[in-house]
Amino acid sequence: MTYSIIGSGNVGAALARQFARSGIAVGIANTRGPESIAPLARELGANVVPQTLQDALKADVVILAVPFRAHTTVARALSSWSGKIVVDAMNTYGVSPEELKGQASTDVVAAAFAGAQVVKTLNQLPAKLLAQDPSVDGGRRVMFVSSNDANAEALMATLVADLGFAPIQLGKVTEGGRLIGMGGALILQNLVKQA
Amino acid sequence: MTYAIIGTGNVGQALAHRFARSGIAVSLANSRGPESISELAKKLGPAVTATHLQDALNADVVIFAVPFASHAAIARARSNWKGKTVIDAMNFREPSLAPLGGLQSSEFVAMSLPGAKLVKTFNQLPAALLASEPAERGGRRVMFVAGNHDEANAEVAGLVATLGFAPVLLGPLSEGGSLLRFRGPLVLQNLIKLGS
Repeated sequence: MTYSIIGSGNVGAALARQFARSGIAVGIANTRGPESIAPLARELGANVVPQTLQDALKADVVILAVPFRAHTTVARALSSWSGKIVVDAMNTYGVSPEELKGQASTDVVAAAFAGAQVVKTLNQLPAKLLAQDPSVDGGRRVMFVSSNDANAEALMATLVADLGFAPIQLGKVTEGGRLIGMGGALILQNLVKQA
Repeated sequence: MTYAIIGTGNVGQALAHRFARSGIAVSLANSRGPESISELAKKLGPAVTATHLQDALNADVVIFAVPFASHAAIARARSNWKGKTVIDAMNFREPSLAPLGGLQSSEFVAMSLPGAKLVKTFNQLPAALLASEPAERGGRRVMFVAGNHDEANAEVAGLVATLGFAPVLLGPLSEGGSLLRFRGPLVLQNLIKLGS
């Protein structure tokens, strides 16, 4: 399984830091090109590889850590998303419910990435907390995971666990997924699962 | 606001223990009568009063901590539930909801309590953990709360916080509340909420 992070802002950099800490190789790309990410990659070590956007989109699992409206540009950069897992780590700050036509934001993302299995996770903590070691005083910080595809959800729960978090699978978007949407009950909760 | 716990099994006792530790007065009742509870009440101290079932059901907030099958008998023990808040601390321990017509178990319980505002909480931790101190490792143990009445949800979240837990509101029973179903994703999770 190959991974890439699209976006090198606060969330993208926080995620890159977790991959580096866990020793899992990951590509990272943004719209400005790999040179702009070189300093971050140098700091994080050999597991974090700056890539062009096109190369990064070849990964099996593509993690979207861009501002919400930028997801459509990423979606258009690849002709077929079939067989890929797209992780929606975005939030809809400043995006009105009208713009989403009343849909859950992750459903809007799924429509843009037709053919991919979309999993929502890694979106729910402030970037600073997301970047911290998820091992806390004998427990692990909780990361909720939701998808309409049970298999992709389970695979991403495993990735989240490999990154050191305690995954909790919420099921489909209409079941638990809405709780990690904008303003949801499980957003911005610093929860530590005890062993 | 007056409170009553119905049921003196593991969950009922664990809750009574938390009320006692928090110094909040609560009536405690079961189907066998107050004599069967007097020793427990004495042990827990002045906040906990062993009561007849009928008297306990006069409380503003009635906590059902009985086996799921027993809820119907308690519902029938009072003719009018109007204006009361009922806390469903029970679990329907079957993998399928088909016997409940596909309803979440708390929706099923609510149907037998016309006029009451039902809130689901206290159902999701093993009794020993429910009874133990919720302040731990610089945070507080999470207690999820779900229900169809915002005002009752907020009132019960207030109680949950007073008992020392960190309440997290999940919204309606058929939506976020469904995560608290038997073997659901948010049951049996020992979570400590830290400041962010």
